Amino acid sequence: MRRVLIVSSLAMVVIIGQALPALATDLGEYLERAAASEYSGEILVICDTPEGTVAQFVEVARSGGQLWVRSSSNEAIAANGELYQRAADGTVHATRIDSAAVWEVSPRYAPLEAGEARELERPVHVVTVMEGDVERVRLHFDDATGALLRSEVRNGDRSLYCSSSFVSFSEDSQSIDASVTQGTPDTAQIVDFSDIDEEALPAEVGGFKRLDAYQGPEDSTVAYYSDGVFSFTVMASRRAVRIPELEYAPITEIAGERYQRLFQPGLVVYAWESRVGGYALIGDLPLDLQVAVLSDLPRAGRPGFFARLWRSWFG
Amino acid sequence: MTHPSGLLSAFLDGEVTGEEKGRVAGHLATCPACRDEFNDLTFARTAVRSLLVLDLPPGLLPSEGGVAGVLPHTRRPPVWIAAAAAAILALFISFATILAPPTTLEVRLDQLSDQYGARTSLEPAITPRPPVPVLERVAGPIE
Repeated sequence: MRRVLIVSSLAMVVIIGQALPALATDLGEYLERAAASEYSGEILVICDTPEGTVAQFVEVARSGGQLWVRSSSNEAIAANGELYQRAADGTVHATRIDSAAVWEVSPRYAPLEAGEARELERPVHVVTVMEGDVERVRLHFDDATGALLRSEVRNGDRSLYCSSSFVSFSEDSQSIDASVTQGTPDTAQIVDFSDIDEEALPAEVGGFKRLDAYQGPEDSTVAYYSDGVFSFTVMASRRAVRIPELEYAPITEIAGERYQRLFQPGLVVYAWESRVGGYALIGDLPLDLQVAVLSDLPRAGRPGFFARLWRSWFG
Repeated sequence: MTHPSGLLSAFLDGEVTGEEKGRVAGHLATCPACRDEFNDLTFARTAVRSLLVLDLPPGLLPSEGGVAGVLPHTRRPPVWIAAAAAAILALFISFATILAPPTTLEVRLDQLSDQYGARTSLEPAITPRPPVPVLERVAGPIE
């Protein structure tokens, strides 16, 4: 009898093992449904960083494909490459960007169905995104609306990096304030794709593909990279890039080089000067991917006196 | 749960256990008073972090023997060498200032984050991010 039990247990293990690939799921379908969902509520975003915890409550609403986000200091509406942001003083800034790039998830990730759960007393579908044996992302999708009620992002060492979860949720999206998109914005930037030297930034960085490159301010080039789960943009200039908000940000050492780094809830920003020019990076990368990406870009390091002199005189 | 006032600062410093973090986050979700306190603390931390950090003058730093305020005695070069060096340096800086274009490209964080936010709105994203605080955007012509 005991032998029969052992054999049947082994058989179950084999059957479950063979059935595992069937649990693989299409992450794109879930995210598209989430993008089309309608809701309003309040989200708490918390990130654990080497400089402490950064956290923020924000009001959100989604309707007609538009995502509206309001924090204590400003509000923004984003959809289809357009972002309108209204500052506390009432000024509105608009940004528009086009892209023909196709979104796809890198083969290094395996999205898997991870069962059912409850979030805010609502039934949810849980999807995990595995990278090898590391659970990179855990997503809780609301069964009724498809909205993403909770997401957790982990570092390569499995520690939690960021979580974003609704603390209140309503299927009513009427609270969305679209007035920010009406009228003429006070300032606007329309991203220019003309005459871009795409080779200014590599086609692949740390396993991320360059999807777009476009003209940044003055002589700079900006490229957008994504692996389908995380993304970032890099700005490269022949001159040193200075971001006033980072002036007194903590300096961090990566591979022995010094970078200015600022964590915001859900975002990280870097600025550094290399021997070939200045760089800035903004993205949602977990800690180990930040290191992987920075290691693939020109390293921080102050150019020599004559290099700086040459650059300042002849570009 | 009673109000976790004593834990909020430790929570923001990343000094609470996973269990405490869950308790604090859960309490914040239901307690407006604690959330106000949390927002005040977050604002204060951001303000403190944005303060300029100044290095102490060398003379105020402790020496190896642990006594502060004693500057080492050094031998000065002859005055004419210092004057000649200063004149050459002044000439060089004048030329460099006249001829060289600005060597720094200044970019505002909101400009960078707006471009990133607009671009990510074309793709399905896993985290709705709070907008980056706009401090004082300079109004300009519409392109």
